[in-house]
Amino acid sequence: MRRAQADFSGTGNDGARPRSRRLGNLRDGWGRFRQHRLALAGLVVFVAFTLAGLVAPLLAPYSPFELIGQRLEPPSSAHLFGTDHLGRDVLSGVIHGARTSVQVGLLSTLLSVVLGVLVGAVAGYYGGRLDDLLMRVTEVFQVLPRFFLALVIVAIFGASLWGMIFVIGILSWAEIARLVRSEFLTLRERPFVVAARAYGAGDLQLMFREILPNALTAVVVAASLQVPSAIILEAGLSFIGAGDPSVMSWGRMLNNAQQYMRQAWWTALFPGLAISLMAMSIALLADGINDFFNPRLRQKG
Amino acid sequence: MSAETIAVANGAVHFPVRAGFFGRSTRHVHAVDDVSLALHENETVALVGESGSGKTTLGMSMLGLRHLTDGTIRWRGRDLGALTRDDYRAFRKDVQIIFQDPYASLNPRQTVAEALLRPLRLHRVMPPERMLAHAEEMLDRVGLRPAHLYIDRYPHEFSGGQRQRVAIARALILSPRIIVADEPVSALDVSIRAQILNLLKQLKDDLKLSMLFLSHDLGVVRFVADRVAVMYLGKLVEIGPVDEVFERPKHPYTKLLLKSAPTVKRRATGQESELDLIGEPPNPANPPSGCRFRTRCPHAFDRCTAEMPPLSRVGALHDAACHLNT
Amino acid sequence: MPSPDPLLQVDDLKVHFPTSRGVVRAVDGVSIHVGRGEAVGIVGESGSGKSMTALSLLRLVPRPGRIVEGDIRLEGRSLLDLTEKEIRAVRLSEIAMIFQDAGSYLNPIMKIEEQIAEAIGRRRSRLPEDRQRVREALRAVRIPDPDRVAAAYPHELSGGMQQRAMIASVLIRKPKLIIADEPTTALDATVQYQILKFLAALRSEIDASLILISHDLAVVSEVCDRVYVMYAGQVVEEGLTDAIFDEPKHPYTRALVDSILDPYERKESIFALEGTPPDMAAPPAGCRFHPRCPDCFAPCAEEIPPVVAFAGDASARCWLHARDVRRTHVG
Repeated sequence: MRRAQADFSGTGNDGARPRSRRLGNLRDGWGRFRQHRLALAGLVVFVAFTLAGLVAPLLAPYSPFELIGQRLEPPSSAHLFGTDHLGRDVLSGVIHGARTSVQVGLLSTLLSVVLGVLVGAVAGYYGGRLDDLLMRVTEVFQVLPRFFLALVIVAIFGASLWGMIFVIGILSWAEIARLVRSEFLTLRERPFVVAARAYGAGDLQLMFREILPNALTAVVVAASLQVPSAIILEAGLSFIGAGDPSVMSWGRMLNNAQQYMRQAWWTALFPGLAISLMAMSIALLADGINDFFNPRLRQKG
Repeated sequence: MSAETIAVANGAVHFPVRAGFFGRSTRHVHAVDDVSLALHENETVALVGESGSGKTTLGMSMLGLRHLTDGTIRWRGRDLGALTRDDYRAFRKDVQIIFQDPYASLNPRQTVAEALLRPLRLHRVMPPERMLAHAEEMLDRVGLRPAHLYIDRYPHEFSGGQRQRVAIARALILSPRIIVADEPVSALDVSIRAQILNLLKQLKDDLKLSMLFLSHDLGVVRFVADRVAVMYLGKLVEIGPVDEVFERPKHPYTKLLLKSAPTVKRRATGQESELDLIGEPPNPANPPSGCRFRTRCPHAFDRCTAEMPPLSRVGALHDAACHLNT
Repeated sequence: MPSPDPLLQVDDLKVHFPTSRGVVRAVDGVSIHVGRGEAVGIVGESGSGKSMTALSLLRLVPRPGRIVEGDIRLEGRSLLDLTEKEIRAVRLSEIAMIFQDAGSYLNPIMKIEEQIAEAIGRRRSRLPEDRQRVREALRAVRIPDPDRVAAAYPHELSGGMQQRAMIASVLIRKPKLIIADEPTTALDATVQYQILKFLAALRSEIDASLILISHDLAVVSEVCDRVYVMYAGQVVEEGLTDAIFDEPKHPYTRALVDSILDPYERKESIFALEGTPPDMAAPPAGCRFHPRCPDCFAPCAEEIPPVVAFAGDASARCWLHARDVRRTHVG
């Protein structure tokens, strides 16, 4: 579905017919996305994990907490991924863990993106004193040691999944804010933005309809890197008991497996593989999302 | 002289230069200093100057995108700084801009349709069902025809010349009477330049526009402009009908600019003393006292250091600011 | 038209770039020559291949581009046969290039005098004769305050000064050939004027040839004796500067000359060529210029026209002339 630019010198006629604009653009975006094979793979894996997580109780052969088999049993027909040090089914753990990871990873990143974009956009667009003030606040959040702060908050408010999502989100927005601010500072002076100011576009319209779509690339990339980071942060918190004890998570499984890795490689491999696959699929997906939004096709030679 | 559309009177724009640890400003850059210039219907006024001349700053203040530190801008007889809400909206429809860089003047994430429709939607100038047709008419008018081949495409699919046409269409979509064109052809290939210049000239005649045309290229200015205003370091040094000024320049800077323009078949020969004197535009934050051009002027004398020369009449509708003329 | 003893002889140069849309023939059969002490101009628009031709002379074609065919000889020696080490020696002391945006080619964290000294490999030298050489180079480019400029960093200088500093770092090497690629395009008009004048004067002062590349015919005419006009990767016309303006032989050259706007002349209308420069991944068949040519006729769309020679060191690649004059060169 390539548009040959040679045709398009203003003198040619490639016979294109007009079509509904919105749909056309969505279809174009999807077409671009589809061309990116790896992104498709990423999408498939991600969707697979998400669905698995959604229907976890139905999909998993056992409950992840149930002491169902012998301790540290290698993979067998009864336990496809083997059992862990307490005799729990690893496969069920991985499936339920998907749910936790997807929740924590996505929701906390969503929170941090929303906060980061708001702060960064306002700071970058308005500049001056407001920018200074917002940047000082951002710096405070950047400097705080995430792990220990999470611990403190969990200690005060108790360990729960939602609490953890909130905490991770609150601690991660600063980086995105810096990025967004930097993009806004540059983009604000671009001629196409000035032209929009000239025909009377207001601040909000300029920020969110003219500038932000052009800053999206950077945001998407940063966000995609945050998701696995959030998953790992959650894992660490689970390890020291600050995680929600009522949910199974990959990080927790991985940390439990540390002691037994030598004898029982399956206890570490499968959760670890799951984390890696999830992170990779999100990164590839993010790449594809960029193509979706960006009308400029992957460039030439 | 036809009706005045927009004018700046004794306009000045001063930027503080941030100095000191706490950002306290101690000096100011006088980007524009006591400039008065009026545009009329069906007229192209070229604003000529090198870097530091202040021409871009002046253009931006005419668009209301840069506040004047001093002086006023008169639009439709009203002071730009004191407009009512409704008047301001009307102003935003009436004055538009065309930029130099065709690769940066269109939002890369918007189709041509979006770029043209947004201003229309914002101002609600016509019923929504008519807007697309109007946008296509405008594309047709700037030479991108048949319009339906262009309307749904993204900027990166076009060449520089085509993008510039789209930018012109966007500038005209709200039917403004005043256009500020900031070096609109400087970034285009030579063979495309002529196309766009012809287009601009024709549009100005057809639509009776007032165009403020910023350019450093005197040849382009001669072709496109009715009047020319020469700026140096924030001051207006010469102004008048373009033929008159270019054939009988009365300010040494104008003469220098004319001499500097590369012309066909003149073979440059170097003469040392002259070259050393010409030098470079001085620092706008620290302009020379008196006449700002005196450090590069072969005719400077003591009055030039002491006193800033005022604009005085030197020919038919032709003013220049130089002590040699008084 | 090869001159008897050219400093530089380029024959049928071809530079290709593989891209996702096909092979871009950026330079497609270009032949030029430069005599000793001569100033030659190459004029063309974007996509004409003029800059790529210049980079080829120094074997600096950026990847993934490659020189696929042709010969480049400096004083009879083929440059394409040289090893990496040998070509670096050529870049150091025989051919030097001046670029458009001097600011980006100067190292921002090095003082000017260090950069100029580095050009002759003497950056750390404290020897008075080396420092003297640097000062002399700065004086040669007529920098009014050489001591101040020498001790300055690039960002402290104006665009014109930066360009002069870059020229100084070139002159200090005493090259045989200087290639200037749009050296004045980003500069103010009065600064451009001075630099062009300086380049013109330079040739009589030092024993170097000059290739000046520009999109502006008028700029080239200020400095050069002979001009090559390039379009879409090929040379379409060659001739003495005055002859090109008085009697352009190729319709593209004529269009360029016609569209020159002179501040001293009142013009009511200018001739504008239709269309746009071609997509170099898929250029038109036959003569590359034919879709825009006002004089296009039958053979133009079918076959690339040969280069036709004229008296007075001129040639044109156009079917209009192929019938009348004997061919000397199949293109």
